[in-house]
Amino acid sequence: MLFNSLEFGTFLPLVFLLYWFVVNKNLKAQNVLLLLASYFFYGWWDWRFLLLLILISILNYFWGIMIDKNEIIRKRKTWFITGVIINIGILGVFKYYNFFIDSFIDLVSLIGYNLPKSTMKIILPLGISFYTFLSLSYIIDIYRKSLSANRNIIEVLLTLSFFPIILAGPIQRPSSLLTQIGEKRIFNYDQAVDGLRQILWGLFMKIALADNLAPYTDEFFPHFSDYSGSTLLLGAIFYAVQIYTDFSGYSNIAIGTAKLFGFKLMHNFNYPYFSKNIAEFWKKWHISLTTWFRDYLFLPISFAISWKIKKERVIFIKTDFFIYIMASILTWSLIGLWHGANYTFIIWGMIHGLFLIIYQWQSKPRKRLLKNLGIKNTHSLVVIIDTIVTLIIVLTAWIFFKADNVSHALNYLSAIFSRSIFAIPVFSRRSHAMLILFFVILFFIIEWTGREKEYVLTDLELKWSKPLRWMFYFVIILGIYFLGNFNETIEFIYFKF
Amino acid sequence: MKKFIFNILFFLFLLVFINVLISLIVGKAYFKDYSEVSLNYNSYLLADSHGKALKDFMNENGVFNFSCESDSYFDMLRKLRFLIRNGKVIRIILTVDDYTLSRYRERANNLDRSVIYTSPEDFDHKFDFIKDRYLKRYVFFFNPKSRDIMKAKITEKYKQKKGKKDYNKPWNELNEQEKLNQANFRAGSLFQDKYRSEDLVSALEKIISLCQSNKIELIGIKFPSSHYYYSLIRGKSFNADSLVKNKGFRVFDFTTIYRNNDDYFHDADHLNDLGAKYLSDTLLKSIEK
Repeated sequence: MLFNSLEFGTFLPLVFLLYWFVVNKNLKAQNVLLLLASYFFYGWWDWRFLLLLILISILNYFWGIMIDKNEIIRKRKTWFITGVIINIGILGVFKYYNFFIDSFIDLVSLIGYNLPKSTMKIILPLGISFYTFLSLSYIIDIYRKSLSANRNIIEVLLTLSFFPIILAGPIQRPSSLLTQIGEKRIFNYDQAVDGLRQILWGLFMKIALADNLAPYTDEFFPHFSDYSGSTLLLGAIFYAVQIYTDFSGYSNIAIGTAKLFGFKLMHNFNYPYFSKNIAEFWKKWHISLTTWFRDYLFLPISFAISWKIKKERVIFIKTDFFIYIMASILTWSLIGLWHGANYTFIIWGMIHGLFLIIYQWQSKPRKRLLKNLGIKNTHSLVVIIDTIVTLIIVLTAWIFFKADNVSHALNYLSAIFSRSIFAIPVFSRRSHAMLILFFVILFFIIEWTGREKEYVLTDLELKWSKPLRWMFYFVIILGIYFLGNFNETIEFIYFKF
Repeated sequence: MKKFIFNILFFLFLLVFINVLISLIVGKAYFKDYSEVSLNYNSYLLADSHGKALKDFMNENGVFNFSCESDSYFDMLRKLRFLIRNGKVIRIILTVDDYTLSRYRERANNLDRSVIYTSPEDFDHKFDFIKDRYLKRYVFFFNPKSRDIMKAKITEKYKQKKGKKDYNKPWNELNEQEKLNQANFRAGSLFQDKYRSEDLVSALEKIISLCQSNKIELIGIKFPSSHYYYSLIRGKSFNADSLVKNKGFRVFDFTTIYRNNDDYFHDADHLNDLGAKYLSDTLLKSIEK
C-alpha cells in the first residue's frame, strides 16, 4: 500500500479510529490491532511476501531469546552468528541472487567460458532491506547486551513490521521502538496534530514536487544523447531534488503517521542540501541508515583493526587515518550495495567514501591554511564555496545512482561536460518545467527558513493563529491539487531498495 | 481527543464545502455528454476529436459515432469492452492517426470519464473499480482533470466579466500566418514528445486482439488534415496504423484528401460540417468496396 494512494487514505483513518476508540483501553489489543494492520498494509502489495516477513520476524524472535538466555559465550556467539547469517542470507537470496549469478557468468566469460544466462529471476520483496536491517539490529543489540530479548511475541513482531516504517524506514533502533510498544500510549492532541501536519507536508513534497520532476528525469537519463549538456545538468539537479523530496517526503509521512498512534520515530533527514561538507551531508541524509552502518559496521571494524595494528604508521599513513580509510572503504561499498544489486550503487557509495576520506585528510591543513590567510571558516564566501563543492560531489554521485549501468553514468557525465553545457536548456514541456522549477526554488527557500526545526512546519501553532494556520493547510492541499502529478501513482524511489 | 475529532470533522467539512464548490464549477455537463451511447448499432466509430467532428452523419448508414474529444486507446478499449458486453458489435472503425500513440495522448485522455463504461471485471481489484468509478467521480480532489476544467471555467468567467469574447474566425477566413500559427501550435502539442507511449501501444494491441477474438471487423482510419498542419507533421508518426495493418486489418488513409481545400476545415486538423459530411460518405463508400 502506498502512502500517496487512496487505499492508504482509507486504511489510516479506519485503523486510527479502531485504535483510539475501540481498543484504546487495552495495550495488548492496541498492539494486536497495529500488528494486524501492519500485516494487512504489507500484504496488500503481495500476501506471499507477507509470509516471508512473518517468518523472518518469528525467527528473530526465537533467535533473540536463544542469544539472551545462553550465558556461555561460545553458545551465545553461535546463536548470534547463525542469526546474522540467516538474516543476511535471506537478504542475499532475494536481493543479490540475480546480481551475483550474472556477475559470475560475466566473469567466467572473460576467461573464455560462456555459461547460459540464468532464467530464474527472483522478485525483490518490498522493504526487505529495511526490515532485515531492523531484525539484525534486534539480535545484535541482544548479543551486545544493550537490549534484553523480549518474550512478548506480539511486541517483537510489531517492532519488526510496524506499518509506517516497514517499506522504507526510517530504520528504527528496536530498543527505542520496543520500549514505546511496551508502554501505555495516551492520546496527545499536540502530537497528533503535529503528525497530521507532517503527513501533509510529506505529501506535498512527494506529489507536488517529486512526482512532477519524475517525468523529466525519466526522460533525460535514458535518452541523454538527445539533449544538450545544460539540459542534462538540469536533469541531474532535478533528480537530486526528486530523490530528496521523494524520500524525505516519505519519511515525513511515516514519522507523522507514527505520531498519530503515539509513537516517536527517529529523524531521517535534516536539510542535507544545505551541508557545508560531505561529512555534514551524511549526518543529515538518511540518518537512520548512516547511523546504523556507523554503529553496527564502521565502529566495530575500526575497533577490530585498531586492536590488530600496534604500529604508529602503516605504509607512511598514520594508523588512525589508515583505520579510517579501511573502515570507510568497506562501509561505503556496503552502503552502496545495500541500495541495490548494481555496480552503479557501489560506485555511488565509493564516491562518497572517497570524498569523506579526502575531507578527513584535508581538514587540518585546511584549518591551518585558512588561519594563515586570516579567513574564518564561517565566512559567508567560504560557506558558499563549501556548499557548492559539496553539492557538486553529491550531484555527481547521484548520476551513478540513477544510471542503469556504469557506462551509462559515464556517458551522461561526459555529455554534460560537452560544449552544449552553455546552450539554453531545451524541454518538451517548457512552461510546466518552469512552473515546477519555480516551486522547487520556493520550496528550498521555505526549507532554509525552517532549517533549525525537525521539519519546516514544526511548532507552527506557536507562531501563527489558528485561522492563518488553517488557511495555510488549505493552501498546501490546493497546492497538491493544482500542482500534483496524478496521471499515475508513482512509487516512492526507496521502495525498490 | 474530542477536540481533535471536532477539529478534524470541521476541517473535513470545509474540504467537502470546497469539493462541492468545485463540483458546481466543473458541473454535470462534463460527464453528461460522455454517457450518450446507443446499443442499437452494429458499427461504431471510435476516435477522438477528429472522429467527433463527423457528428451523426453516418448514423443512418448504421455507424454510431462513439468518439469524444481526447479519447485515447485506453478509453476506446473500455468502450469496446462495454460494447462487446452489452451490444452486437460487428465492426469498429478506429482512429490510427499519427499521434494517437503519443505520450501527449497518454497524459491527455478521458480515463476519468470512460470509467462509466467499465465493470468490476475490468479491474484487478474491486477497490480500484470503486475508486475510479465512484470516488474519482464525486470527490474532485481525486480527479486531476477537474482542476483543468476549473481553470478554464474561471478564465472564461473572467473574460466575460471583462467584456472580452472569444471569437474564432473560420479556418478559411484566416490569413496564411494565422493558419500557420494554429497548425504550429497543434502539431507542437501533439508531437511534443519524442517517444511513443508503450502503455498506449499495449492498449491498442488489446483492442486488436479483442476484435480478433470476438470476430469484429476492425478498420483503421487516418483523418484528413489541412495542408498547413500536414506539412509540419509529415514524416512524424508513432505508427498506430502499422500495428493495425500488420494484423491484417484494413486502414484508410485520408490524411491528404482535402489538403488543398480549406473550406472543409474547422481548424488545422479538424473538419467542419461540410468536410465531415464528405468524409462520412467517402468512408462509407471505402468500407463497402
